[in-house]
Amino acid sequence: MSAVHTAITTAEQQHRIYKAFDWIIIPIVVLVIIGANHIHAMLTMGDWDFWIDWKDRRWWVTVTPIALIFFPAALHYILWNNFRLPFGATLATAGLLIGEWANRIANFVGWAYFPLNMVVPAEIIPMALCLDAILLISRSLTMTGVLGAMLWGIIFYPANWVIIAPFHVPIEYNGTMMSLADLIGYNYVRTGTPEYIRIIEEGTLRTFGEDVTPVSAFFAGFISVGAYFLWLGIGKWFGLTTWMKRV
Amino acid sequence: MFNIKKTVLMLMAIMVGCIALYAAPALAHGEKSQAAYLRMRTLLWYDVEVSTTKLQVNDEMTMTGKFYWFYDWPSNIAKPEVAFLNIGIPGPVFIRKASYINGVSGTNSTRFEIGETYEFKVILKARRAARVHMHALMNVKEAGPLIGPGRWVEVTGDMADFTNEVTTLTGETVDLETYGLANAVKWHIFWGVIAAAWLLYWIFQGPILIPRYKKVKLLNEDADDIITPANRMVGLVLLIGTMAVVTWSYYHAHSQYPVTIPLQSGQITIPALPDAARGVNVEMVDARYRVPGRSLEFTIKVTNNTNSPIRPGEFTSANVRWMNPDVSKAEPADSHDPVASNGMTYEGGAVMPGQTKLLKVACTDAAWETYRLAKLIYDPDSRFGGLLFFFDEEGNRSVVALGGPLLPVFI
Repeated sequence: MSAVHTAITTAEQQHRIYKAFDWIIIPIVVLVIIGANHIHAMLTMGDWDFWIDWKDRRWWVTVTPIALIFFPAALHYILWNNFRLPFGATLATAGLLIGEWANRIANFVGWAYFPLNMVVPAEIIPMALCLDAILLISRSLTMTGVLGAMLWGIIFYPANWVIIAPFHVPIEYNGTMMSLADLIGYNYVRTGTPEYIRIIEEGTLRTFGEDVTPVSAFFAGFISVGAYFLWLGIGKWFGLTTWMKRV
Repeated sequence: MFNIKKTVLMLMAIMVGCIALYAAPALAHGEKSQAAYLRMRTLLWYDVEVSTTKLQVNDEMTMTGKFYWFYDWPSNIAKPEVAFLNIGIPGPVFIRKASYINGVSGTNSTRFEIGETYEFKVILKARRAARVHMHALMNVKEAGPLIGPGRWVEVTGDMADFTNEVTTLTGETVDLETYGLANAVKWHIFWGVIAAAWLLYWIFQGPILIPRYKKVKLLNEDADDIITPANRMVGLVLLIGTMAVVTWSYYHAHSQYPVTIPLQSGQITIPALPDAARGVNVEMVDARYRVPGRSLEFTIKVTNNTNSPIRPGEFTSANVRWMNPDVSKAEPADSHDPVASNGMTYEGGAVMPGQTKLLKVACTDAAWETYRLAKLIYDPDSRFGGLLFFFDEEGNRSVVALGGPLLPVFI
């Protein structure tokens, strides 16, 4: 003979337990996302996001949205499929930014003494809000992948222009024209990061003349669509409960 | 009784304590750790000087010198097709106000010619208090940093007093220490607050994990019904609001900064200096490294095409200098400046104008060991290189690059 005994006897107790579960799990998940997404971001787009003189209108615009849609897509799958919660992208990007700001202030400024304006991270929350909102409105991961991920890539540069525009004002320096971002990169000596190591636009896209940014942004959006669906699959794999069942 | 948990914890505590106590600040840049052949046969620096070694925050100093791209460049090291004159310091203790190579601004990366000599000048402004070992440095694409001589420099004062003001082409004077920061922080806070509100909107809808999970599994294909019309309306407002703010901020920035340029990335080519050999030719006949005596001994055939008798006064390689005090004198600039003031001797006397003769030169000093140059004989490519300085009676200098296979003498 067997019987299941439980300490929960009322709906109120059950509610309290559910809430306690939230308060235990959510902070842990947030910390894991901050750490994991931060490592991922440093490995995939590191210097583009570290330095103001890497934030160009071609490579930065292309690489950053593509690299950063991975975690939002995976979290979208897990949170939407299991809980119908549409904030995976915002959770991933806000977590990343918390980690990035902590890193920039403690490491880049606190230890290495770089000025903070040189190492401000890219703004990515507006893209995440759009992605989440489209998921909520459409209630479809497919629609979110097609429309939201495209929008994710396209609005990255406009959303950041308000932050980086001041650094693109020209200056004459020792007979050379530079942007203020270039000058900051030149002034503040980085022994291990010489000028040539920057992977930034050189000589425009030729056929497209000066319209580098829109082309790069659309390309980033296009690839982000593919990356979104790929990472939905990875999110699905991460969300498997095979091992939990064994436990 | 033996307790394994306690023992492991104690060992870990001892280990952490030892590491914490032993860990000393890094005071150098690993210049001795690079392979000897790399230091001797790539970039050879000389005449490196700093204008001062003690300065206050906001004071300027100048580092000058010359470098020669060794003619017998190692085949496994990338050639200097793209290179950048840099400074080896721990973080921006200084800002680089200007740098010049043969008088041309060094803001951009540059292409250099093997076998040629260039002179450089870097103007630095002290930014924060520190005592640092500062090096001239050349970053070469795909080859890495080629480090030059170092000098101990001490900066005193308060970093809070430091300013870095510049005037843009649009006439605005700004301090690059803080320029644009308040604006960036403002926008990050704004979007951070919106993100927090969005997350809290969901989190504070009661327990969200277990009840929603159960509902999703229960409703199965109708799980979307969990999302209420009010939720979707919030989503619509969020989407439209976000797009509106992004669009407004973009055009607002355009109106605030109507003149902007893309990041600049051009590269320049700088012509080399005239030949520093000034008519002195040297052929390597034979070179040996005497291990017990810590001495490089080489025989060279010297042809003097100048108008004056010449004698060798200095041999330099890998930032170490061996001086022949009868001809040229130099003392270490500080405790880490490897100058062997009496390190060079030679046999053969002066080389007269138009004459070709053999000279036997010996460069002896413990620096061969302390600077890990003796390890050259154990390298896969155990050839050496360096610059030999000849002087005439009026002090005119001819700089000649020489090198070749090096045979060890163990007994």
